[in-house]
Amino acid sequence: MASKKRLAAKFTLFALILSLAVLVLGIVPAGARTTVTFWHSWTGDEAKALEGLIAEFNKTHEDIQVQGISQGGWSNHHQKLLTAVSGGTAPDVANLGSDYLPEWAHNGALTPLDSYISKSKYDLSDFYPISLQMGRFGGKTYGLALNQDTYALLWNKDLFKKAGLDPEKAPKTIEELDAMVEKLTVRDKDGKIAQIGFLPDFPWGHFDLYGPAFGGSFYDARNKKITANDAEIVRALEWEQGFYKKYDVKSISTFKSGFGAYATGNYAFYTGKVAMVVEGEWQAAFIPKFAPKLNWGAAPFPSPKDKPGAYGATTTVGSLLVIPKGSKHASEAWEFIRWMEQPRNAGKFAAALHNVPAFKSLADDPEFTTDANFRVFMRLLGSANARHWPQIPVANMYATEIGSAEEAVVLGKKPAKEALDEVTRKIQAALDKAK
Amino acid sequence: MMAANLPAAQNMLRTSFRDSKRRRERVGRLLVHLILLIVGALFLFPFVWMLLTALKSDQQLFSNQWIPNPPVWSNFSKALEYIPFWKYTLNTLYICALSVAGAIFSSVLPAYGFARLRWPGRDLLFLIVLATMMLPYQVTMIPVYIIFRNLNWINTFKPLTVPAFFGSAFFIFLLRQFFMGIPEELSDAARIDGLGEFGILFRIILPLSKPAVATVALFTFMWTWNDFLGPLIYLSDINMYTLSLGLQQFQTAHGAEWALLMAASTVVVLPVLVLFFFTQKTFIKGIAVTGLKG
Amino acid sequence: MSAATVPRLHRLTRMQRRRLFYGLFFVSPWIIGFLWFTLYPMGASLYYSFTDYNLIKTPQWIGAANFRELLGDELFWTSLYNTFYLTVVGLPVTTIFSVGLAVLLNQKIRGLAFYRTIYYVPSVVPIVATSIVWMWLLNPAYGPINTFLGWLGISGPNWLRDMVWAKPALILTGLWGVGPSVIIYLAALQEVPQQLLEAAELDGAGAWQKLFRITLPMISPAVFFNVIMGVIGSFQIFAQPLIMTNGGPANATLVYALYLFRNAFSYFKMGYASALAWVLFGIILLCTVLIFKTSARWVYYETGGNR
Repeated sequence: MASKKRLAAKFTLFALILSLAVLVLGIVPAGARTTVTFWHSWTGDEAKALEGLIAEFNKTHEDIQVQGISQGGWSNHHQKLLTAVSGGTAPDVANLGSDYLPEWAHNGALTPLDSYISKSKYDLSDFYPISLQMGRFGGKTYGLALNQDTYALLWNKDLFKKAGLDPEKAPKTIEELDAMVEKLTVRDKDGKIAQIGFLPDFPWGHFDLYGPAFGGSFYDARNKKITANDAEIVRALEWEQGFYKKYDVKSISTFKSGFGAYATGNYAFYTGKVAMVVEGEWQAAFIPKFAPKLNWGAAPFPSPKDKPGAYGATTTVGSLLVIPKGSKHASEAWEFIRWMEQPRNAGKFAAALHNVPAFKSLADDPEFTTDANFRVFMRLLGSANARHWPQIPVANMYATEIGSAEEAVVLGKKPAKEALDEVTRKIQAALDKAK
Repeated sequence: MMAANLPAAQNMLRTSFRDSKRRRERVGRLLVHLILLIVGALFLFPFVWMLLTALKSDQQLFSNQWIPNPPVWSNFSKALEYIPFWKYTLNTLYICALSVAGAIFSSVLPAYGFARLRWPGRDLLFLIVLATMMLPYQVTMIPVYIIFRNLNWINTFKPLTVPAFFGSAFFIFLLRQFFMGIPEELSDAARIDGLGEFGILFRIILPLSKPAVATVALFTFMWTWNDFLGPLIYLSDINMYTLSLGLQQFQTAHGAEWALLMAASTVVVLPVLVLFFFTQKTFIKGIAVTGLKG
Repeated sequence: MSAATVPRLHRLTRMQRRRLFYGLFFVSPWIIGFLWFTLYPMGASLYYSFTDYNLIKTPQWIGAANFRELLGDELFWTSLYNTFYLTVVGLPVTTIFSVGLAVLLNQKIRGLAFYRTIYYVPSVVPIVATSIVWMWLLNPAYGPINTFLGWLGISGPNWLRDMVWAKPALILTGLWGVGPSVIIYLAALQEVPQQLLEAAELDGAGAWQKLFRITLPMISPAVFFNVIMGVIGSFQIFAQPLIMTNGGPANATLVYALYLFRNAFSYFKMGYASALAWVLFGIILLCTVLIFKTSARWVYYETGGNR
């Protein structure tokens, strides 16, 4: 009996020591290092560049281990992220498109960063104002810009030469642009368009740029009024419509249908079918890859002669780092954001993506300024006329409605003023309801 | 049915009738070939385009030059290295195998219950089965996700496999239609021989429905193989991704790695088509049912 | 749907109770699945349709406000019209095409395995590859469709960019997806008894007569299946318009499910999206019941007495 008891005691002791050992070995290291899950939308080489930065962060942070998970593509990422946030399984940190931010922030899917920013005395002054504004909604900061796009006018210098234009001079005014388009548009024997100077909605709609370029504004933030029918905006859409009247909707769409796919060597700007396009800074990397022989330049999009103050307009959209609602390690996630949002690290990533970085201190970094064309996009970020789509609760609906209105007007179904009045009425009602 | 009594006089005409009939049949067959070839070319085209694009260099992509010159065979090896291809194949096969087994088991039984048993409330319940397909998934997606979250199944294969074992409305309906096409007398005879409902299902109905059951297996396999939204939402561990998720890794910010994407797609699609080619007889001519009807 | 009344257990005879038990036993895998995975999501979305729900915050009950809002929503009517158009025009076209194709693929000719595989190709190839081919076919300048129309002296439209022709273009491209229905028809065609056809032939029936008098009635259960599934699927069509036109031009192809999706996930109006979904549910259910009611007249079952 006694020996049995002793045996039992020994066993108990052994078990106790064993479980203590398991506790010590198992829990302590786990407690020492928090794993932060980071969902992102990048793939391929871009994901590799990000992985490199994450590895560097992990090496320098003993207490935090960031695990990056690529969700494969922009829309997949956002769909999955929203499902997870709604279902209560959000990751700790994620990237988010600045065009998604207003609805996400308004509906409570994101954690405001302001308290983290002030607690850690993180300095926001190095951000371009427009970059900072991109991550803000309703007076709070929900996301910090990691990389962004700006838009400018690209022109084909060889086609300019052929048309007898100065190949080094881009149009400064809309009137100059219109005149150049006439010279740059070539028809074949049957009268069909063989080359066109410019297409306002190619490669996709750029009405968000034409508004500010014409001196207009889509939203009056002070009075919380939708201003889609602002006189300058109407003028911009009438200009676009006039273009389609002049060159004929049907001829243009027939001509357009022969275009090759985007991001391939057959893109119509690369093949010389379109002499000027509104494009983003990534073209500085795309053109050497897909059309190495193309002789091109970049300049700010022109403004009407009577609106010189609007010159230098651009629109921007970018990727933000955010802490979704339901993040289980928000303060560790902030540590990671804070580290990524150092000019050195964010700059490295922007360079890998061939995107524009959000920091003023990188404005003269040779990485971004050696290429003269890329420099144009860099400078536009600091322009007083740089705009982001209004960060209002119904931003997405507004953008969708503007797109439909633009299509209807271009197809000649509605006058510009009427279409934009309708959008104003509808979105204003939705906005009033959303508050 | 028309009576098969031909007047004796017509017998004399039979030979010449047969000759002209044979000629007509030959012309008919030629016509069938012609139609199938022309329309078929349009159907084959997406595959041809995929294959040709897979062999192109970036400069040749989407160009008017149809034939890649020179063909870039290395796209295939590059594509297979771009993602952990074999791991994703295994994951996909695992999900597919379970789904196929589950779909057959869980659709055959209810289909039999709806098609060949008479019981009160059957038709109402069947309407409910159909009704489950009438609500757009976009609004049920989140509540379904919450069920799986509460079961602690997020980031496991379970949300992608377990539901397959509990009946799919589509397949129950499909099998019901086929089961209803089998003459009732066969069941009656079996009942007289003392066979229970299980015996009738497994010994009479299933052997006669091999094409339909094979169709269920084929469709489940194809749909699971290609399913993208389910794996996207439920899997968050890169090591657990499926092939359809892997293909998304070829999407880039302003386009895609077209050649690599098409090379990987070819590798994903080709085995399925080869499988289909060699097994199509099974689910189209599973068993000669000739002689059972009429 | 006959006898669509809820059975009252105490009124059932012993025989009926036995039958009920057997029936429920066979159907039980589906019933368990329904209770486990389907009932809650359907109920939840029905509840959401009466609430203001933004996917994140707790739903707020607002009564029938979503349904009232929907009546005055121009895009609701536009998308409903577009979806009806695609169903009413598209479904007959698709059905005739796939039955015809299945009959051709059931002829005794060489190379059947090859042909059958070809027609299944678009159902497995990634949709991007298939959509490239659609774009080429529908190309107003170089596409074969407009070239052919040109020979007839007709100037073809700019299909996908034309407000009138974008919907027919979507129907046309939908024909590429008939692979699965063709397989189902082929499986059904195997059950058409050969000697019935031979007997008819001896009676001097021509190919058309055999097709309309014997083959089609014999495969009518499969046609019925595909028509019902076609209605259910067509009202919820989503991926194809999203990829090809994204609802454009000027909302000409804004289909119901696309509008619903935008409301749910772009505008965060899940309550409103759920109301949209349940209205669609009602419409599809009504159509299905109507087709079921007419089915006695045109669907031929061997177990005729069973119904």
